Amino acid sequence: MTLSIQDFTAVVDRIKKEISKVIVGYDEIINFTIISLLSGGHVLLEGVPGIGKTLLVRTLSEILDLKFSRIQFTPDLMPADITGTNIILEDENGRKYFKFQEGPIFANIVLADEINRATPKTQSALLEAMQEGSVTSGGVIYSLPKPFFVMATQNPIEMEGTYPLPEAQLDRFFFKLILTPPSQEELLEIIERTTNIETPKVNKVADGNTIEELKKIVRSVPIPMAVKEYAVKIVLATHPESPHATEKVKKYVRYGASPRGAQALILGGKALALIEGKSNVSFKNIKKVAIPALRHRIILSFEGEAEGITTDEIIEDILEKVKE
Amino acid sequence: MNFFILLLPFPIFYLYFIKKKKPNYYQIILQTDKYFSLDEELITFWEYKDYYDPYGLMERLRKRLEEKLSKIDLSKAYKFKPSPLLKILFLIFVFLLILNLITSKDMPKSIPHILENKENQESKVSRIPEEKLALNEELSKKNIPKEKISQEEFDKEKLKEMEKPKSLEEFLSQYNLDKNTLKKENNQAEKHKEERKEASSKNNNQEKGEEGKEQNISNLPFQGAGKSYAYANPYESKEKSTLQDEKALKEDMKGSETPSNQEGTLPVPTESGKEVDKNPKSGNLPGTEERPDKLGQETQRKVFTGEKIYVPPSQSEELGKNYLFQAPTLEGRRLSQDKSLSFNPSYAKERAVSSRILPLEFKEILKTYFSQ
Repeated sequence: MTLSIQDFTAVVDRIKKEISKVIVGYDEIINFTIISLLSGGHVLLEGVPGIGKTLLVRTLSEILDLKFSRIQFTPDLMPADITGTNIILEDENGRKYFKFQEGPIFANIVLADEINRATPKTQSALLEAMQEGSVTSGGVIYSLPKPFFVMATQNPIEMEGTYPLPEAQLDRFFFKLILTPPSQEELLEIIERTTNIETPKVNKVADGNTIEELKKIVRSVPIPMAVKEYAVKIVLATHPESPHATEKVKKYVRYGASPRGAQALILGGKALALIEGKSNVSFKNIKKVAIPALRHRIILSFEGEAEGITTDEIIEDILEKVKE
Repeated sequence: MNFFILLLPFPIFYLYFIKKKKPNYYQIILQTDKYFSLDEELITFWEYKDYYDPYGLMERLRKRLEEKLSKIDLSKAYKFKPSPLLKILFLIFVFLLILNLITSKDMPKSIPHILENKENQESKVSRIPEEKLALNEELSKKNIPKEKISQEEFDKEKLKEMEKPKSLEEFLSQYNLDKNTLKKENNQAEKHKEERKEASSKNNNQEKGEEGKEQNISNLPFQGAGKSYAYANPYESKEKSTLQDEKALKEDMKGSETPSNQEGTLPVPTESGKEVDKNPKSGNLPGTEERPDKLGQETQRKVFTGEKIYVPPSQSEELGKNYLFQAPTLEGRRLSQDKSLSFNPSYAKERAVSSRILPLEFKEILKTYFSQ
């Protein structure tokens, strides 16, 4: 199956339309979620409880006709509970053998709800799955189904009894999206939709193969060298020891973004350009995806945290200072 | 002076700058993308012209680009946008133009005016002999009898004319009140004064030299006073405060001298500080002058009678300390600059004057002692 660029736009528009039936507002969040899905990345959603994080992921899985699984992360959750484990089975002849029992991670769309409530050991069970798209158990590597898309949520308020995600784990997420409380109009619309007898139903728009084909189209989008150089400069500017670093970075940043950050900028820019109906990546596309792609990859210094500086402010400063 | 010559290096530098900064094709296309807001489509198309495109992305890009470019009218779109360097150059040009206008502002106005004046004057000068002749002719025609006036009458008339009250303008027109000329006149007057002073001082010195030979020991105490008076003169021209101090000093001296004058035993000092000795003296050294009475003939010696003469008590005496010679004090002799207190005070030198310290009786004794 070969899709054209027109098919891409049509599919994306239909996905957006179906999501908007359930989710009120959050157009940008939906946009970035689709970008992340089509770029082959994973999304970390951060927001207070009851804001619609889980609903968004569930709606997306329903629209895409993909296998969906939800893992509720708790402190007593073990890695094997996620990845799966070898269990002993008996055949017809009475011979016992090990069989790998797949865990909930073997799905196309995985919702890791409240990921920061599990121990770092369990959290790290996702590392291989998210990066390599495979799970190793008992010396055997099991490939995960494609497309594989993890959407993790975390609550920034109830921090007691939580385990903040390690840097290595955070770096695996393509985008970190922060959900803000809905506006008055949006809240009225939510009430209207959810308190009636009829609940909104969504239609399936695309399957796994279509998503995989769309991912290929995203990767084929041309990007001029000047724009690539600009993306690289932005990533380098997040490092305090870099010559591109701004004064704010030098003062408040401990570690800058990894090369995964640059990959996220380019791929995100490509997907965004296609979603916007363009055939190439521009400086504007890179600038637009810079904040969700880099905000979780920058680690603030003690001074930065003490003074209440956010990584978003740092990135905005970089975008302002770094020349195209 | 024409300032436009200063502009020459600027165009040369500007041309050099443009040549050095000439961008390549890549930069030109990138700038075009930015200028026409093409979202880097032109540069992408230029870079990916040989790109394998299975999804028709480049075809779509080409169509979009053609559509955008067709809407752009280059002649209208590219308005003249001067660079900052060109702007600076223009400002300098305008500044120099204004400067040039200011400096040459009076030139075009004054030149024809001067020429016109010159022509008028020349024509007037050329007319003078003709007018003179015409006047003479008129006078000869009228036959007006010429009155002969004596010199005295003429002088009287002149004086009357001079005595007549004139208007302020007429009066002032008699004098040249130009600052420069006044200054010159003042300077000349000062020079004359100085010359006169020098001449008079030379004469005085000569006179003094003659008189100094005649001076005897009797005027020794007052020589100091005379000198101190002479010391005071330079301060007159420098600072009033010092002058006042010196005046105070002189008054003190006079106060001490007056009783001796009343006695008639001491020589009388004149205003100029010179002393007029009643007895003629022959030598300079003390005791070598000719005595009016030879030794042994009139052996009456002046004996200190012990007459009570009031001597004003000095400050030291008031304090209970008695000194024969009092050291010169600097107290109250501070020089003030510009009538204000100075943080670096300087003091006028004061000569120790014996006449101020010694009572007159002791002076007399000393004088008679040294005279013998």
